[in-house]
Amino acid sequence: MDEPGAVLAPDDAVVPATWVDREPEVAWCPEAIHAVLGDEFVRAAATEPSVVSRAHATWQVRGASVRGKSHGHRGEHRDDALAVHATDDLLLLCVADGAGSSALSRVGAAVTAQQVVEQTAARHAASPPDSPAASRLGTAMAHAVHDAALRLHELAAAAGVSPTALRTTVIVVAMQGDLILVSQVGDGAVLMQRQDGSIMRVGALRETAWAGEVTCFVPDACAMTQAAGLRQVSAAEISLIALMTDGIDDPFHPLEQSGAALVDQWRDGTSAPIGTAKQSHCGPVLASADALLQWMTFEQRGEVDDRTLLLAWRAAPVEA
Amino acid sequence: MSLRRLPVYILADVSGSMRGTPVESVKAGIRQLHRDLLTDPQAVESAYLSVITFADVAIQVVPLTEISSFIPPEMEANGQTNYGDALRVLLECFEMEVVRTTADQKGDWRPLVFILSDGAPTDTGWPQYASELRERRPANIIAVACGDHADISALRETTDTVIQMRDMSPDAFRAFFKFVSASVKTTSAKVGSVGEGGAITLPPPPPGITIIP
Repeated sequence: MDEPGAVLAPDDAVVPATWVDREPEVAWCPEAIHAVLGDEFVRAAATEPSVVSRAHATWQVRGASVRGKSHGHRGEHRDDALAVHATDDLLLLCVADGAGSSALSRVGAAVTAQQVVEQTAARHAASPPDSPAASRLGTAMAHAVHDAALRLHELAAAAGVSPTALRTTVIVVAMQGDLILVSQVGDGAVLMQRQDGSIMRVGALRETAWAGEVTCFVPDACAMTQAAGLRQVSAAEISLIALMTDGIDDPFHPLEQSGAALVDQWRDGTSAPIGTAKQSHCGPVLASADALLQWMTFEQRGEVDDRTLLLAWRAAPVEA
Repeated sequence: MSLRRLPVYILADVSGSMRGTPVESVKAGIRQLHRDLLTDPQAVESAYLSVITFADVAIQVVPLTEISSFIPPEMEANGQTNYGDALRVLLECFEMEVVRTTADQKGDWRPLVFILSDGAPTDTGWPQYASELRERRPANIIAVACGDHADISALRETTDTVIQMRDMSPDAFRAFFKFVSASVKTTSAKVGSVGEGGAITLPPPPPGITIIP
């Protein structure tokens, strides 16, 4: 008879495993989706990390999306994405976080982020210019999320998978003149600093009692309803805006308490860690992309998700 | 800024019918599970393990403990199958040990529970607790009907996810606990909320273990 105790002697010592970082072992997307999206899009989406810096008439923009330790350990691609559209008239900021439980969520996140900024800009440009600004921009944002959902359905059909395989969250901030509109589907956060230095969180709070559970994703039918639940803020009040996926939001929850310290670190560099996070010294995040990437290496036990942070702030000169 | 944990509860039937090879296999399986989780850094950082045994009464023999500090318990099988007490203790543990998200603190992942039983409840109070678990959905619960005499209907009243393991050999338990380990490793991912029908996706069960539709 088999001796069940032989499976593992009680006194066997096992050293807990440590993290390793592996290159992705599979293609970023199936060939059928690659054919639709094209080489350039796929190459850019699969590049690690994704970093963006832009200048706008009033705002400077810097953001990065980096692969989390969990995906790195498993040799998987990042599921987060970000996109920016910046003209003097219109600034669009977007972050997206593919659902880890969905096999092609990285595709959903990257395509949604790109579609949302492109389609918002295009729809806004094509809308009647005499309409009220908030209605014009808000309608363009809501319709752009609808466009993104349709695009994900098309890609799912091309690949022969369920649209739920591409599920993603999305957060969009649109700025035009004194108008700021925020649209959100799923988790993550938008943090704003007012001109007087005070902090506010705009948009969805945690949706359920449990970590990692989200009530609605793009391309679910509910996404369009959630996306249309816009929040409006006067840009004149605001000096800094931060969009973040839960890989940044969760480790510093609640942002209402940690937000001021976070903004201080982004403006002035890391001198002392926030809470229980282990943070190495880095210079002002607003001053360089390298500092931003360094800041995003903070350690917090159990926080191994992809991290995406997209910042827009007034006045500071952008690096050459 | 508290730690976001994945609480994992093993509810093991240690009534008299589990005496001998079955209970020894469960013990060995828990040791194997512990060893396997230690090889995954995400499990080391996030997974917390607890063992509740039930016979005449239910006892939480190991409180919710991080993997690196977990000590696999000894178990002896005898007595009746007080399933209701097991569910009552589980609900108590949720209240005492599991953290839900609030405005001020970050919650745990929804707990993962594995219930192993080879018989039928001998108490009369279990439906009340089973009903409470079904209504409140405080965890992703996987019930395992071991052998040919498990009361599948009682397990079914506790959770929709019931799997059957007819073979109660050490090899079968070994395969089952590998399935538990794989489930733990894949659970810490963003999912649709249970209320939206988006419960976790379990890995495929090993040969010999079937999901009861």
